[in-house]
Amino acid sequence: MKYEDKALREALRRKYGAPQKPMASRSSKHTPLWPWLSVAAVALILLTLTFWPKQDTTTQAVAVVSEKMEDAPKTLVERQTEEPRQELAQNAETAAPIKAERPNKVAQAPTSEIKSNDSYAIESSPRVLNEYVHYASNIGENYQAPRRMEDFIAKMANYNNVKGEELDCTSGKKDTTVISMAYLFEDRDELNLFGRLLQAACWYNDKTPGYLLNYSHQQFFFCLKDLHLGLKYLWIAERVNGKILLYSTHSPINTEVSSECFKEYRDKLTHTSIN
Amino acid sequence: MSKEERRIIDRILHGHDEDFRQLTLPYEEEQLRFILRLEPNKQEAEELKQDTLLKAFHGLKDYRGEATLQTWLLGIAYRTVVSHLRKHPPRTVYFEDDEKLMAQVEENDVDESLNLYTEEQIDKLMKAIDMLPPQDRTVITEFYLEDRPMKEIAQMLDIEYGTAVTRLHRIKKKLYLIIKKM
Repeated sequence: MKYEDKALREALRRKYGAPQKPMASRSSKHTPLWPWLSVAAVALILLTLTFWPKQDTTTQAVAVVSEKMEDAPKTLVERQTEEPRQELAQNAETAAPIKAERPNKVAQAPTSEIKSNDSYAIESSPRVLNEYVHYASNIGENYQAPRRMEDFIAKMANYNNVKGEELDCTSGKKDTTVISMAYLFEDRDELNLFGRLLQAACWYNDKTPGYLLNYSHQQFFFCLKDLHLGLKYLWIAERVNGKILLYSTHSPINTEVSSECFKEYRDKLTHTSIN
Repeated sequence: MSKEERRIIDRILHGHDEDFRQLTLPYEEEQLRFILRLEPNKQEAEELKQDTLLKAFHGLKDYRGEATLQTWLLGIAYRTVVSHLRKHPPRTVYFEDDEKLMAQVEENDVDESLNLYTEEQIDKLMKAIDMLPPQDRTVITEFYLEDRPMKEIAQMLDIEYGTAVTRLHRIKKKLYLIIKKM
């Protein structure tokens, strides 16, 4: 569960004072600190070893896609492939977590290079400079619409000749406001779908309403809310028998959406032949 | 529960009453702070802390380690304070739950309001917090101030996890309504 509610936190802090965590004193009394430090050190080494070479592969994969798409019109896809490339080049030097770099990158993001006259003009800056932009009554130039992620997926599917299948994920009666799609991608290194989804998720500041990002080698899970359109978005990608099943859904914020349809679809795939 | 805590509890249950202080001492400061948020009178709060420790001592044989010792002790403190406040109600008028009003509140409006980082809004929130009943105040202070997981808060208040989550949503709506009326 993620609740920011900054003003409320500040009010509580001023009213009752900052909590003096007894945890620290307790842990030093009862639990030695060194096991945690050694676990953290091992995790850090593993992460570095895991992600360092992968970023290179991702860079290559992105470059390949961009190269192949030279003939395509200058659209959103190109902006999206350009942008992670710059980011990866910077990240490769530091190998620091992308999320931690966010605020500085925001300020540095080149917006002038993007020339677009399509319907996404309002999203010309891919970074969110101010989290309050989500609550503003007008969409400013820094607003990063969650639907851009959906469009990115649709274009990626189109480019890889993957046909999306519409699922009925309404709980109970049919609700046309709930849009759910399932895509079945090849799990290929060149495509690097997980890496690209993760990069796309990094367009969004973690202060974006409804932001929840969770990923592993097996699964990618990402949620966002669009307060301007009153929609909530969910993306789940999962490795299933050598393929990647990508599920994308959006619905009005207050509408209940069941993930059963996704599970059923996945089960259907695993029980029948996925190849 | 750590092995050390288990060992001390076993000793206490075998008659070594003097070890009880060793068990609870690391949590006493937090306990007092917790009580003071509900009962600001320091003298009363100290007494309530002593009552809590006495109840914990007598109830130690029933402690099965499902919740952490800290959560278990805070749960006892919570019930002790609530019982005290029933007998000695404060002058504060708590904001009553109004189902009809609550149902009309949009979550987006609530989120927007509780994130509106202005001095005026923070002042209003500080006043609004005073108008919450003890259970509500416990939920938000433990969740937002102490960063305690919702599961532990539910254990502390002896309610279901889902109920605690729903409670948090309702409290936010309630704060929003109180502020709106100011």
